[in-house]
Amino acid sequence: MFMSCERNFDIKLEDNVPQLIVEAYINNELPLYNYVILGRSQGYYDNGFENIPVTGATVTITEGTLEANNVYNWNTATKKRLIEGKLPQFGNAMLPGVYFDSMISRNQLNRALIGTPGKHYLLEIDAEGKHYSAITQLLPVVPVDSLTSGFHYLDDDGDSTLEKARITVHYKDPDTIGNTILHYWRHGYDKDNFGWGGLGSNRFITGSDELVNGEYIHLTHSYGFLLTDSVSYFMAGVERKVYNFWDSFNKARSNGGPFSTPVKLLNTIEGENVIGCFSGFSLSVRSIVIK
Amino acid sequence: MKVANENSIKKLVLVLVFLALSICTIHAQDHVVTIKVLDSVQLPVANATIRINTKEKLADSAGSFFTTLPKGKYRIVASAVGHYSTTQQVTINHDTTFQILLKGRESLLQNVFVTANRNVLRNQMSVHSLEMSQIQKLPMILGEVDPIKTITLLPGIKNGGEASAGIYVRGGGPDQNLVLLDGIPVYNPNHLLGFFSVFNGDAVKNIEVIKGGMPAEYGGRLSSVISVNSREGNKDSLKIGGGVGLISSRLSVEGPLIKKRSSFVISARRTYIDQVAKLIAPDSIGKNGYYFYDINAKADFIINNNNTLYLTFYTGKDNFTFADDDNDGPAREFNAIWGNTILGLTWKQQVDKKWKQELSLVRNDFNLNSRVIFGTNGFVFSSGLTDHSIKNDWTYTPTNWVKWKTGFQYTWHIFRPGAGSSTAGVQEFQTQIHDQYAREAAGYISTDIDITTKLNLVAGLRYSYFNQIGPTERVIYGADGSPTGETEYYKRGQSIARFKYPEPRVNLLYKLPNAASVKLSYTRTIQYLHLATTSAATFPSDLWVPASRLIQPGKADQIAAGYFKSFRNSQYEISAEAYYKTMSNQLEFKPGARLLLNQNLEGEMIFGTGKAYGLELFFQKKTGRLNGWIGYTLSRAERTFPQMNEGKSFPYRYDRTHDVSVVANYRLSQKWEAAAVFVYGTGNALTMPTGRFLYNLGYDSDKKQPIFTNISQYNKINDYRMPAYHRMDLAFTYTHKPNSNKRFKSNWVFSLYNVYNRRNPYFIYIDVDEDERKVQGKQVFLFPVLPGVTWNFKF
Repeated sequence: MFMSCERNFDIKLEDNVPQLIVEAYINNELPLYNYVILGRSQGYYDNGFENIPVTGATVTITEGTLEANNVYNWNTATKKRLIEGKLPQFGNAMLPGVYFDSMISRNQLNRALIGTPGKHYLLEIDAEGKHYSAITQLLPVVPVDSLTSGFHYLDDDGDSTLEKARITVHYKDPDTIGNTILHYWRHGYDKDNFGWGGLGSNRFITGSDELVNGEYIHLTHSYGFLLTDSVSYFMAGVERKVYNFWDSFNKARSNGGPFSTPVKLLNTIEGENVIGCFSGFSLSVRSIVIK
Repeated sequence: MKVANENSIKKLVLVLVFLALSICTIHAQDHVVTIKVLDSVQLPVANATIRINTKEKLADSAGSFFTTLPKGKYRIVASAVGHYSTTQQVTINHDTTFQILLKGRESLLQNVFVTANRNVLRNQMSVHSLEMSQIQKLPMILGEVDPIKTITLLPGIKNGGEASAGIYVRGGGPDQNLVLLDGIPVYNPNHLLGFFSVFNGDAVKNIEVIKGGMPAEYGGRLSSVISVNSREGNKDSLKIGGGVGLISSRLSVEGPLIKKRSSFVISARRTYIDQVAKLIAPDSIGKNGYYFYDINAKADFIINNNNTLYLTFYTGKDNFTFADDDNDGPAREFNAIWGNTILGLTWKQQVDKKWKQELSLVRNDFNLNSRVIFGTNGFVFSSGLTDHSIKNDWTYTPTNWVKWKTGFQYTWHIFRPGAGSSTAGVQEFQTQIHDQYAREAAGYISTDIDITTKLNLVAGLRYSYFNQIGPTERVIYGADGSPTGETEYYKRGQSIARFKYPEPRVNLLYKLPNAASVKLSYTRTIQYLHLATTSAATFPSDLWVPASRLIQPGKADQIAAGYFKSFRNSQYEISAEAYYKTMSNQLEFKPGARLLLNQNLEGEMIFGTGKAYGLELFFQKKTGRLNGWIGYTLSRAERTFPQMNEGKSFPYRYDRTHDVSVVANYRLSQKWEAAAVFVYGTGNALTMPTGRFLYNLGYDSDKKQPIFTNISQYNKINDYRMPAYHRMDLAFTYTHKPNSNKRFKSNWVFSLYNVYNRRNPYFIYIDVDEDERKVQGKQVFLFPVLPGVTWNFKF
């Protein structure tokens, strides 16, 4: 509103204590998308913009249940070891720091790790002489009733004008309060992209139902899809701590400016000097061709 | 000496008897003397200094002074800011009431500061008063006169930095100041996110800040009382005044309703930068715009010599619209309208020679309505609060060495934390966060006793009570923020949380020879309302929330000691004050907490303690061709929260080790006056990242490259210091015909803000450019050297 100017400024920072960065997922629909990425944080002014992989770790995921006495009962028979491997999607090149079920490397997706709604999952990591662990739960699936497209508009990016439309997702919020949902989608034209971070660009519209508990929801995303795009839509029901983590991620990534206070990414992983989340996604999957 | 001691003990015993039995006596041969200090148009002159023979005392803010004197002849001198002093010889042989008229100085803006011995003699710790005549001469950004901004030039009172709304007094938060307009609390005293306060300089008579040693009649906030008094209208003839500035204009109309008995004053202002911008660049401005207006009105009615009625009214609105409706991406529009409306009726009565009372009825409203449109999504949000209050204060002056004050206050709070509705395509959500209700009450008694001729004690006890009640419904949440599925419903009037606390207040004044004194004070304050804000600035969407089952009231204890001296016949005054303050139940929000439409707001809060201590030095030259002051503060303010910084203490964001302000006025000639302000302050404490990492990784098969988001890693809280803030401003006031007898008077104020173009940081950040693979610190600064011009007139 008034005038403001900006200039380069030498900001001297404290020395950094490196953290283990854990990005781990378990879901009930996409075996390829059950993986663990281990990385390391670096000093702010250090060179490099790639993930600094933590390799050679022992990573396991075990299925279990939460008993009535609030004690977890882990079924050791289900324990799966995840290993750094080569994926056909990446030209069978080694992916350091990315841990999959070995069945995926062997292209046996039907035998690979998959989550079951209602079950709990224990992630254990032994890396560089230290032990880390985390627990997540797959909630009952909130089914997507249907997807529709509409709300057309012309998107003029200066070079061309494209007609776009928006997706509305229709579902019934469960009667229980506290249901939290993340929304993801994948375009037809970039379906070969990989990873939860490789899905549609407007992917973290988080939502909790305190204000709309039990209502029938028709949620229209602002994001514009090209007409004829064939979109896969993933609605992920998550437990509160996972929702809180991704909510803090949204705030942390858009953090800055004079009026904001720094947002520290939350952490659901037990252990020393670790930041990250073990995300249990109860997926309901639908697809739509944009009209 | 022995006699003096015996007298002191006798008085002390009498005081104790007073305290125990509330029975008062008066010396049979003393006569009650009442003095009314008025100006040439019969308006009371506030806080005049009354010298009776060699003893100096102060009249009150309504220009009244009471004392008892033995039969005899007296020389009485009255003096006040902006007036020539007047001397009267009076013979007292019975109870007497008389007026002293003070002639005002002629120029439109007053030339000298006259507050004889005020701080030395007054038994009030840590207080500063500024008259509008002083404030109007100082350089202000874009020429906008602002009493609230000016008080941050005093030691111990800080602003939050460039264009910041908050006032931070002795390490307290911005919500810990009791901002009063004619005794009525103002919840959001800012326009435009804090660039300007809601107080129009034309409507204000004076402003007083109490940083410590708060008298027992004040309460409800931990750190300070900022009392803004509006002025009364002219009781003789109709007067019009105003000013035309770069971004706003002001107009005041005042005059008699009933000549000599009743007057009114209405002052209004509006900014017009939106209208100017629309004229200059209609295409680029589009629907964007911002303006505010405010209207202050005051009326008084003298029923008879002993009874006066006052009506205070304020209303103001801010209207901000941001619209981005070009076709690049979804259309965005944001509109917010917010403001206060305040109405107060006060009856002041001189019941008899010893008793006077003041009864006030108040209604106070703050409302915000906002609307956001982003593509297909629309969102409407409104919030606010309403207070209804009654306040009654009694003063009993049985003799000239003791004064009693007692009274009560009762406020009925209605909090509207938020009602919202959103449209997301075809969906509409209607949301209502349950309103909350609370009753806040306080009673107090205090005494002001001259224990000896040199030792004065002001001791008071305030007893406050707060009760949050139904009807409301509470959703019960677990520790991780998940609803447990249980709800609690409270019926109308059913108690939810109840608190009551005694708040002792003690001030001691010991007069030293040669116009000097030492003072000591102890204050306990309790605060039942908290401002919910996560940001460093204050926003209209910030919510006031009541103490509840989870939110305990804030508590503060402060001790202060000071030395005060005036010399060269009160031309100079110096003071040194040291303070130590502890605060408990301080409130912070979890990082990234959601405040809007959050039924579980309490679950987002964490609680800790605070500590502040410091030394404040003040030197003032009050009269002469060159006058002004130098203030210096050395201080430390910190907070401790178990869930933050691993439980270790960390500096408060507005901890300022060194703070310097220099204010100078110089009369260049009959027509020209110059004023200069210099400020220096240690930079604000900030939390800066120490490292970074990638998260939410993916792979773009088309571009054959990874997808990621850079996230910052943080270590200690507020461990980084912004560069020091310093700035110098100048103002020149030109009065064309200063000695003109004509009715029409005007002057020009030319100001320069930030004379040496210091690039003070508004904020700093580290820019991570993933495409360029560069990490670079950046500093954003707001105001370069800025000229301002204002034309003031009065007829």
